[in-house]
Amino acid sequence: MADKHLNEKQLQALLRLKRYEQPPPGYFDDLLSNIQKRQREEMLRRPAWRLALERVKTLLESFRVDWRYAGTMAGILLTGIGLIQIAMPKHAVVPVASNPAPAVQPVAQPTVAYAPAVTLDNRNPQGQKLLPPLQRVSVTTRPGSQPAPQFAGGALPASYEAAQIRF
Amino acid sequence: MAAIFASTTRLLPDLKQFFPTAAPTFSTGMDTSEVDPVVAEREASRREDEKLVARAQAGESVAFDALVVKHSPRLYAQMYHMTSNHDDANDMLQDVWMKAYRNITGFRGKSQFSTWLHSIASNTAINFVQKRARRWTMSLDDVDNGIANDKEFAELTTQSTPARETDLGEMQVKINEAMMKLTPDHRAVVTMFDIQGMAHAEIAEVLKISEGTVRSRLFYAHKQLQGWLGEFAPDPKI
Repeated sequence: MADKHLNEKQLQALLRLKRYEQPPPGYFDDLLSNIQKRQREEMLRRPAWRLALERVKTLLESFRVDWRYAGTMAGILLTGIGLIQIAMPKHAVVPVASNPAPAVQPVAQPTVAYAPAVTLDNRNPQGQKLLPPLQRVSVTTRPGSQPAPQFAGGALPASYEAAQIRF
Repeated sequence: MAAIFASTTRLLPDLKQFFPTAAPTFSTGMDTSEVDPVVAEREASRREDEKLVARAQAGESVAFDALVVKHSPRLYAQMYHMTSNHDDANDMLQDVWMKAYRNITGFRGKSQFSTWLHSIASNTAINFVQKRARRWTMSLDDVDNGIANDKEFAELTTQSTPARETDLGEMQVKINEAMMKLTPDHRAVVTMFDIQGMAHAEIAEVLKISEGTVRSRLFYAHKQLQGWLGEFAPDPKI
């Protein structure tokens, strides 16, 4: 028994007999319907984005677009836009001064120092009114002080001006 | 002129590759008008596949169904002989078709559709068998009645061999058991070559291996099977 050995031809003949092993009748008809069922199930399980993508593809295909032509045209269009961008003059640029503008100081309102007020007590023994002479007071700017009165036209009232009328 | 004729004659086999049915005939004494019917049939089948695949890629489900009907028997055989189990073969076959359905739009026709399909099938079967490993039971298909008219079967059973005494069912079980002892890679090659009758080159393309590897796997697998199925060898004493 141990010395028995199939030769190549006999083995191949034996293996070829396996071709006669066949599935039950009607198997392939059932197989087709099972595959169709699985296809339908799979279609229902597809995500919404994929369905949307397929619809867009179908829509684009309905235009019968030659994608090579469309790609070339898109490339030319983009190149054209790029060239226009390069060729267009740039907006005027204001040169920046080399020395920066001085920092804005807070505007201080001039303050006026008034002469002491004249009261009845300021009388000399002769009963003469002793009015203090008009004094020129220095106007200084002091931040935080009371704002000085503003005059129309920036001028002093006429009464404050020294008389320059000569006859 | 003679040089042109000679170079044209040399090119003839190449031209035949591209125009197998319409190769130009030269008066070289060689009759090229006779086309091998098997080759012609394969060519017609390939063209039919191309048309059906193009329609299926365009979303025509009827064309895909036609492909299923046409290729399922061969694919089923590949699955069945790899597993010796009808239910496993059925499950795998459905998986193969679903994979083909999902990827048919990506099929560019670099190889024949049947080769592409068999590649999916062999990968699926080999992966399945490797994963299943020990959880395996045999569930054999019935042997077709046509076997009674088979010349080789008649020879096996009329000769003085143990096959004559052996029940047909028992022989089927023993052959399948021997097949299952092979590694998945060797089994795939034996299935495609010995049972399905595929050529070495075609098997190499399907399995993405060299023809040399196909031949060496076949040689090794045959050696093993010859030992395991030795009981069916003719009795040398008679």
